[in-house]
Amino acid sequence: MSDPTVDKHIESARRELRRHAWTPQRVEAAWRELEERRRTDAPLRRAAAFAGTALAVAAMCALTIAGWRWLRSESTARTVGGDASGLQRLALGDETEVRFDQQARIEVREQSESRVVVVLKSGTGHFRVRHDPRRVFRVQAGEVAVEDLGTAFDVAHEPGSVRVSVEEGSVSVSYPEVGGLKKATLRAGDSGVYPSVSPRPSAGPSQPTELPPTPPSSSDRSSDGPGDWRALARAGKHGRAYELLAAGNMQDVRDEPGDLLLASDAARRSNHPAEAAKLLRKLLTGYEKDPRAPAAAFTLGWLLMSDLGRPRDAAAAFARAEALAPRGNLAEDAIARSVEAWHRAGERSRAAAGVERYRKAYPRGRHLGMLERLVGNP
Amino acid sequence: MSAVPHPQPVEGAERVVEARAAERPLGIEELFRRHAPAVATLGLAMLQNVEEADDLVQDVFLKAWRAFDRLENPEGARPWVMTIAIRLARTRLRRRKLTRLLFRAEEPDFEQIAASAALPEHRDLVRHLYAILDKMPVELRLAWVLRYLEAETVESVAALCGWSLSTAKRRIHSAHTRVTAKLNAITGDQESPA
Repeated sequence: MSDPTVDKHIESARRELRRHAWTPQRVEAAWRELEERRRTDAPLRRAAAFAGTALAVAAMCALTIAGWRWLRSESTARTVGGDASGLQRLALGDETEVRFDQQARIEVREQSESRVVVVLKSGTGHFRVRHDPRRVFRVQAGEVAVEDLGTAFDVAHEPGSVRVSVEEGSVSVSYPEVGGLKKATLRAGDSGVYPSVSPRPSAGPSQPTELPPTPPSSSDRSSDGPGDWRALARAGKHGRAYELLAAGNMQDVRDEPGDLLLASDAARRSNHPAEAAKLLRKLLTGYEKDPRAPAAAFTLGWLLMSDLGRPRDAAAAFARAEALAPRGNLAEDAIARSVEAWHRAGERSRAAAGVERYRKAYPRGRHLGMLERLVGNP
Repeated sequence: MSAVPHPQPVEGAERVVEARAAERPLGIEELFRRHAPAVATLGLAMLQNVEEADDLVQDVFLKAWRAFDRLENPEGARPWVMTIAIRLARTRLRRRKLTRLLFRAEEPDFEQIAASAALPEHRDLVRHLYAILDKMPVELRLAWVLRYLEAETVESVAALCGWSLSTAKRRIHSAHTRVTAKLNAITGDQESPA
């Protein structure tokens, strides 16, 4: 029997799966990777086919060696200690090490003589790598891959973005873009922020564009507790989170993007759109360069249009979302929503101009039909 | 479509084998392009981890490539590919549980797939659902994901997982009962006053 609560969860999970669906570029990249793996895989298998009984012995040896390596990698990966600055340290042998704070989540996915893969799930890691041309050292953060070219570098994985800063040497970064994976080389002193997942359209024209998450800030988790608004907000208990915030006259919200976004989520989800808009404006005023700013502007636009009945201001907010990241994954939706906002404001010529701009930028855009209908039938 | 045709044994077995061997790369590439996105989605639904889902795709098609000779009908290869994917996903899930048990590894991070571009509303829903699935026995998890996220029929779930129809029904029902109870408990908790 159908249960609305379960149905709602299933629909959200399906939506997320659709959002992660592979693009043709992703299929192409994966095919190339498979070919490469097959090339290295095939000779081994041919040799195995001719080896007969001797192979069984060799396989046992290989298994033993593999087991030993696995054990070694497991134990190496757990060689963790602290340093004077309070950072955790993970030694990967041969003078290669990772230092990270308590909030970082790191996993050594692979460690062999030819390849080391470290997955940075979240937080910041500082990598000091002894360069070895026979070995690939890769840090994977979402869909961003950083390969060392002999160096020391930081990788910060936040929801939606990955920041790479090079201290010494250089790194090669591959990151997802609309046209497929792109590569960049960063040298000492360089830094860059990359999307951690492929830029992708949102679910449909009747929905607000999906937004980047509210990332936890480094000091958030230390204060998580039953009376802590942040813990409540992250657990989805927005009403109670907002009550705590409001009781303290919002003084408990730190002036930094993560906290402002989390608090605005709590306010928005607990039906306090005006307060949420205020928090988003504060973020946009103080942190316009933050990678989360475009999403904040978009959310603000949505609040102004849908909840606060201020379509003109909404159009301005959507325009700002687009201006902050004209090639970001919200840009297309921002133009479309600004058309909708102008239409609601009764500004037909502006709405029509917006549709024209949308058509030029996205001739096969998924909102085009809806926008044309909107302007054609005001 | 340019998938490998069924060879007709009119010119001798050797020439047929050569012909198949010559065409094989085209066939597997076609197979990959056609089914890899579905395997990736299935992998993500099962494993709830983007990198692991990508790895799963590679493993599935490496296996498929090796066994491509034995594939009678590449045009109808979807169930075959999906069965490999489910088998490998099952292995990964069991290994993950074991690793967690042995090494007390941390809980998985569902933010990764729930996060990067989702509305907070959806994020919470997805996170709750995946946390419940993560605690579920592997077979029940497979059954539920295939039936409710992948929208497979009960018959298809049974065939893909190598179960009898009654086993598939029992597992789907059991999994869905758990999911429903736990989601309702969470929702009730959130809606109750402070």
